[in-house]
Amino acid sequence: MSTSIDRPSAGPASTEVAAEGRADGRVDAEGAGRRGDWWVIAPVLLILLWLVLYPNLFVLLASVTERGHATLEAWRRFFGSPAELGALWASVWISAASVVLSALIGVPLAFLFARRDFPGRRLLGGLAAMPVLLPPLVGTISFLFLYGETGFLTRGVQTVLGMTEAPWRLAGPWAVLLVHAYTMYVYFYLFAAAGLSRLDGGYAEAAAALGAGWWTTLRRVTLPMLGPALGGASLLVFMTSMASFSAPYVFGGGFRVLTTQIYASKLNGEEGLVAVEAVVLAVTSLLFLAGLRRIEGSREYTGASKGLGPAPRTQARRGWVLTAVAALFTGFLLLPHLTVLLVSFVPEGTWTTQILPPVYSASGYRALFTDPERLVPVLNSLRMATAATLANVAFAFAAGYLLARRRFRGKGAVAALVALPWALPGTVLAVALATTFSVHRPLAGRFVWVGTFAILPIAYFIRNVPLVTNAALASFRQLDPALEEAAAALGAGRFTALRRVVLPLVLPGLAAGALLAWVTALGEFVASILLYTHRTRPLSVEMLSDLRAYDFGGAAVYGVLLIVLVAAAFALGYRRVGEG
Amino acid sequence: MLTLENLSRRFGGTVAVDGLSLRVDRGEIVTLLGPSGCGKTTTLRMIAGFEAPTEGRILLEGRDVTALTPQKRGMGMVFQSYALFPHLDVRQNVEFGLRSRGDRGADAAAAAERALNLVELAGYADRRVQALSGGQQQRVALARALAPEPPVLLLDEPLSNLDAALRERTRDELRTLLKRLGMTAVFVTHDQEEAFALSDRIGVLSRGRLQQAGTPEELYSSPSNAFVAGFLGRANFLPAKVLGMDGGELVCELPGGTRWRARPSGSADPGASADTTALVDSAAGTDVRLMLRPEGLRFGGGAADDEAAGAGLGGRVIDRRFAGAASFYRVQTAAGEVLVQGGPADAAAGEEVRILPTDGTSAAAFPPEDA
Repeated sequence: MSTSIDRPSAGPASTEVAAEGRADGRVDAEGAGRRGDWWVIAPVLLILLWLVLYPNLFVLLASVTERGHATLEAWRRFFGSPAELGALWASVWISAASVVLSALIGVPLAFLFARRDFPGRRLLGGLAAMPVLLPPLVGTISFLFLYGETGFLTRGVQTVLGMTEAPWRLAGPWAVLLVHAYTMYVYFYLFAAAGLSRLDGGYAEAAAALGAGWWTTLRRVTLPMLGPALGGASLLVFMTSMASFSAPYVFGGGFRVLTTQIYASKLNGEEGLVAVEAVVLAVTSLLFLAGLRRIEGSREYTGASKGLGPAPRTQARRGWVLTAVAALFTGFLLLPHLTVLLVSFVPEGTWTTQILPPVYSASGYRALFTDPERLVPVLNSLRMATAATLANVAFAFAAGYLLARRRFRGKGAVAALVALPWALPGTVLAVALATTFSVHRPLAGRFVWVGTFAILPIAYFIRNVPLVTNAALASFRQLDPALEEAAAALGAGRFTALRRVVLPLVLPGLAAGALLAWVTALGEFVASILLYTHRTRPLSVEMLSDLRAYDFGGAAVYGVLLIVLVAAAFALGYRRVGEG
Repeated sequence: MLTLENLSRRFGGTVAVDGLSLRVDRGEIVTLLGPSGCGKTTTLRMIAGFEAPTEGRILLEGRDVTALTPQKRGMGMVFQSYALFPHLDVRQNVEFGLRSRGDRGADAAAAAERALNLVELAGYADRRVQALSGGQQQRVALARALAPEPPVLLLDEPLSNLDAALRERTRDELRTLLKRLGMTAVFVTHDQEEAFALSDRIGVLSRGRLQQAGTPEELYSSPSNAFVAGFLGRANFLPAKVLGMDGGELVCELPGGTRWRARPSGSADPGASADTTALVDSAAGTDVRLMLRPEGLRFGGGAADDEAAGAGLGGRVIDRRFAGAASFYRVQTAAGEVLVQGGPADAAAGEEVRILPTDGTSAAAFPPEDA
């Protein structure tokens, strides 16, 4: 769902993965282990242990050793430094504030589109989800073009008011919060909208019949029943904020959160401290995840009634007012997309002090095809994302099959390991990979992959394991186990049943997941910036160096390219889901 | 044709099927009937090969198939959910089994066509299966199972997803078709009416054990235990004491002194395999339960009954329920509440009545704690 943020969102679905391990479910749906299963279980388990779990252990180890000696020096430095503790605290409060702010925007918006009817509702409701289409770095950069010191809006206000300096500086925690709220309210909006559409209108009618006014109904019936949806959105926003790197990196200035602190320490070559920071970030994320899960898990509402549709939308009396408000709001939401598009037509060095760029040309796009250097990052990203996604599909098919269909020892562990990359920020993953795969010890399963073309696809693969596996798992769950039995009863062997029944039915859902994983990998930034080399530089990293070189047009061209690819993936993905 | 020998299936500590033996003859429709969780579906899945029995053997035409995979057994199966392949059209669904066997081209097409003709869906071959109604989907599932001409057809509650009116019609058509093809079939259901209408023989299961097997008529008129009696149709169970034997029948006394004659349970069905407890040698004074169906009871009254008046069970009518062809009266008696089937105006609520067995009916006696 979200390629707009620093984390592939497999959130609510991955909750299921973890739960699956516990529920040893129906006898008829899950077959007991067969000897042949080990051909599937062994590689799945091996990949999870080796690539997902193992590198994290090295980070843990690195945090308590220095040149082979055990020492707690790095931990002492972390907890003795106000700057380090400040970064930890900043990560936590920024995340909490992002949750509140996103909820304040997203939930009312969901109510507006789900419960009121006005001209243009459908179109505007769709546009309200547009931030989903912005890869994290692209969103951040568009804010720079819009609200930064030299941004369109900033200069516009400055000129109108005749000021000599910019009216504001987009820097520090407030800037980060602004970007977070803009990119993450979508979770609350989509989750609450989905929750409202599932919410049986009968409850509201029952409440009304019992004499409750609209406020009482909202407070005592509707909001509590939306609880799980809002809880899921809170969890997602919190985890995404904890892992967020682009926004604090570009706008933070002196304001540091843990992710940017890790990056800074890494540049300073303080390996021990990097490891400690990574451990702290990972542990904090996991603690909050566990805590929120607990709260969320304690309340679960399943509608007992059936048949009645969601509460009907009321025809607003002055519909056009709502239309105007909604249009204004969505227009504001679309500004970043339009900005990136506009800036992509600005040739290098032509836009200096003007409010709007004075010169436009398609030279940036032409350069993609004429200047090999401009094309290299595109090809790099395409190749690395494709390789990673193919691996994801193969892995997810096997893991999804195991988790949905088979019972075996260690299934809970497999489910937990599949969900782990979702809970661990990309920065932690990058640190873990950099620590583990920078030495050559084949017998310990360690190879020098850092600096080669292998490391980024591996990082993308690991980050997308939860997303793609959940897509496969959901497809397997929807597949009636009787279909496989029917094929068997009709004489089809295991392989034939797989080829003629299971694969055709699982593939659409798996493909939709893979497509999202692919675009996420195309725009991946957080792990990339810690692991790339000049030869392997991906789109996102090149975009940033364009920006550093004041080639705004060049950066925006890559941005547009990413937005278009993400939009295409979403369109295709939704159509596929719609057909299935 | 199909023989189940001492079949058992345990899941961990729970016993799903316990020592079940049953023979299905060629061309016979046998139904496994029982409440949910009785082991009937597990039994069917063992026959199909989806579950491995913990103990026992399955013989198909004298050949032991217990160790064979479902693919090698080649039984036709109709699933409760139909399990039609949603990505294939009707023809491709029906051809699936033929193609798995290696039949391609004209032969397979002709066989599929024949199967679709059987279920009267000849014109539907190119439809998407999701575009069909529930009844049509059910028939496609049947055609798909029949197309490879399996030796035995297994049906797992195939009618339960149809609405009531359609279910009855489909049931009758299904029996007609299976009989016309001379198909050997094992049918699973929890609906006794369906079992009666469809089966040549029925095996009643409870808690994993086969309670009784026989024709519908045998089971209804001579249930070998109280479970079978209670599960098949309505039954009154009345506590009584044995006074003695008279010509192969028991003479029993009900509370209030009424004396009725009763058949000892199991005596009419020597072939019953379940653990029937013969009461033939019951000594006087033994406690028993008498089973009488509502249609086996009537209200006494009039001159003809006066002499038998002493034999009637006295009681007061609680209420009457009109059920179309008959009416049912709940009567409070000294032996407990009794359900009597009668005409629409045989008695009024609150009326004092005497209850008698109808002519030619006698009660069946069961041990008191047989459930």
